[in-house]
Amino acid sequence: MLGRTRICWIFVIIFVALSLCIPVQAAEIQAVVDRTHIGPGESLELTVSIKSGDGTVDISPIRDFKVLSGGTSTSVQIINGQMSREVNHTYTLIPLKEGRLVIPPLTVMSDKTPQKTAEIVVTVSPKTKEKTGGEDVFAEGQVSNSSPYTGEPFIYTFKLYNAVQITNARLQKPEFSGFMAKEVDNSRKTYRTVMAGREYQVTDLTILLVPLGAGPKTIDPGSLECDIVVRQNTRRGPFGILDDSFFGQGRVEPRVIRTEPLIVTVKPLPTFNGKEQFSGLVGTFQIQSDVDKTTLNVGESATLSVTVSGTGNIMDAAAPEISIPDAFKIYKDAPQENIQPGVNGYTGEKIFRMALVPLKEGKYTLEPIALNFFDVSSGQYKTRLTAPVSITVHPSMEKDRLEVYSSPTSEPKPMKKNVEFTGRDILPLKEDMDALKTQKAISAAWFWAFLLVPALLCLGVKAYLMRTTKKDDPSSLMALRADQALKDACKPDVSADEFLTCLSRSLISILLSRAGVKGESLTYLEAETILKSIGFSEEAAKLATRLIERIDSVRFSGHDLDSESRETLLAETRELVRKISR
Amino acid sequence: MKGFKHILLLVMLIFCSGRITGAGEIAQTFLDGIKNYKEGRFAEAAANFYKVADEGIKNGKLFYNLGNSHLKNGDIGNAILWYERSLKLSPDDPDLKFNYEYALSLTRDEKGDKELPLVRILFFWKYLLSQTHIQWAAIFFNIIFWSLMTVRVIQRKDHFKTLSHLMLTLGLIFTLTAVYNDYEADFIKEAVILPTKVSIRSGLTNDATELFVLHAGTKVKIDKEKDDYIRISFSEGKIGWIKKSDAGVI
Repeated sequence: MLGRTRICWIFVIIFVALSLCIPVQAAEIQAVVDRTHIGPGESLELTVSIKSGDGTVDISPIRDFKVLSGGTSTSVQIINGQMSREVNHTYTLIPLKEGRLVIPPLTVMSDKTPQKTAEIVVTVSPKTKEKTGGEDVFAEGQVSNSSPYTGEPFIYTFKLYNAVQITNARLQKPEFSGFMAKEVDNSRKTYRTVMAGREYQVTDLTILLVPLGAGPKTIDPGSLECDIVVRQNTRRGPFGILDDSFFGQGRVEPRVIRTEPLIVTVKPLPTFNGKEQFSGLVGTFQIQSDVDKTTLNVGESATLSVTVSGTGNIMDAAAPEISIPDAFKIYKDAPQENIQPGVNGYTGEKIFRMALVPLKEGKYTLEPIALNFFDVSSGQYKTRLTAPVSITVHPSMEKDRLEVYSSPTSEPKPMKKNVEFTGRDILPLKEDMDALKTQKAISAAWFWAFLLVPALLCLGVKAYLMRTTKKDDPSSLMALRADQALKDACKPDVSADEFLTCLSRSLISILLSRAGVKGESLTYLEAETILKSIGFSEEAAKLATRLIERIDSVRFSGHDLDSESRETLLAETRELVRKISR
Repeated sequence: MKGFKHILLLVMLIFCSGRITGAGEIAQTFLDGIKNYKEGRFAEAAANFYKVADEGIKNGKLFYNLGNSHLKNGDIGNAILWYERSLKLSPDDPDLKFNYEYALSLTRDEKGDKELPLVRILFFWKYLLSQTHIQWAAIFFNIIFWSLMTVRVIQRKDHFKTLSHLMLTLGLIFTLTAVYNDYEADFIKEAVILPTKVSIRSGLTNDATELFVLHAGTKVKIDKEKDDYIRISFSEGKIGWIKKSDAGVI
């Protein structure tokens, strides 16, 4: 037991000694790929080796590939007593296009020193047009019609063929720019097929496309990212069972499968020369009309239903032009749709209903309703007509004539419709030369300066007025005098007569101050008028005047004034002065 | 002394002639842009307008022209970016609103955080007037208010009480709006996605997990900047990192 421990220690010491013996030298950087020729969708493995050191690899310059990190491994070798250490950074690269792709020099930061790897060129050979059956997984896009007319629906099918097991499949549909696209419900189906002697599982995805304009249109490649399960070489013998993927012996390889871009030449519709308006429908359509009542009385209503059905861009069907006699009032209903996208295009019907209310008795005939559409099978415009409908209107059952409110003018008004865009474009450039003048916003400093200056000016004016008006302004002088008189009244050694004189002077002065005049005396009527003019109510003015009267009556009657009455009079006077001076 | 005066005059003449030539060149470039646009050379037109904008000219009409050139050239991302920049300067331009709405109809992503229409109704002046107009309105009402106050101080009478209150209220509304606009410009940064399609990732590397995909012309908020990346917020809960070059700051 002791011997084993010793042996372990010896190994540790040797390892540490050898580690210390590794000469300190700059790390050696190398980037290698496992293949330089690959097919589209295949991946390759890039390994960046850092010998005698460690470091970080900047993979951001790689533009032509999608980069997936494969992890880092470290190996230590001892050859002839020389120990070397190597760190391998592994990445899986998936090409994003075909042709000559470049892995540019990558910067590796090792011991704070940047070093660059060599450039690597990888050739991605273009996909062969014919499927040989040799590929494990591939995809193709198909269109049901490569030269449809504008507005004619057709089918795009994304087909995925896989002869091996795949996982984590993520489909990126093409852009379908220039088309209106809708995936057909429940269209995904899976079946098996044999190609070049190899059995494939095929998964179809069906998308319904409607071209929005004429001309050559390109359907971009659809792509599918997935992981392919690759089985390891199996072992023979009793342990072969462990190689089954169930036991985790398979590995996954990421792939991107792409379809080829498809070019669809969309044919413009020929010029329409018919009398009525073209409905805009492209496909095969029928039209029929029906009235729920052909005999009715004045004021009753009948419902006219016009059904447009068929296959094509049925969802674009607008209400057909219907000629209704003037003797009817019309109330239109919202159209009812029952349209389904399918492998043959949009199929279904659109029903336009309207209530007809006759205003006069008589026999009327609704003219056949025409539907002009472009028939793609014959490449010509076709017209379908409904059968004429006869309606008999009897007089109203009511004795008095039924009042049906209608427009006061006798001339029929044209039916109003929402104005809709008939074409879309942007408005033109602005050619004025003032476009060359910079639109400057006011800087924050100037803005606040502009806000503060008027306020400061106002305060300045107020301060100036206060300073200049104090000296000779009658109001200020009289207010000061009122204040002084009150102070004198409060002095302890003042006699009763002087006390009352002070109170009276104080009240008269404050009233004259508010009137803006100098003076010594006021009549009670003048006092009351001043009080009313400064906002006192009649009652309050009378109360105030009565106080002055009371002071004067005590003052001139010669009665004694006890200390309590003195305090009461002083308090009342002070309160009134305060109220008046507000 | 006389020699010094001559040298000074010469320097001023050279300076002035340089400025005049520069202004003439800018005008010519602008006119070239209009000509190229009318003749269908939209990329060249955009290059001309860029050259004018690079001279430091910030004008709603110029930015509108840049938006038009990009839109006609099929670059929805840059078109919406320049329309947005133009809207900041001329929010009441009807042509601009029309073209901007049209450009928006061509984008592929639904708006992330939709603005409540009630906010637009309640604070309509913010969306109708440019920052400069709002600032001048605040200054105008403020001057009127303080002028009325000064009259009241001089006359010592409570004249114009209602009018003063009205001016004070309007002045405060426009001042606060101007302050909010300043705050918005400084702290709430928005950007427009420029490439046709861009992956929003969980980290600051190309191989970080793709969280979601945005398309050209989509407006996002900028939360944070780090190295060559910005963290954007599209809607509540949808945030991630993209390269700075993939988004144009409004």
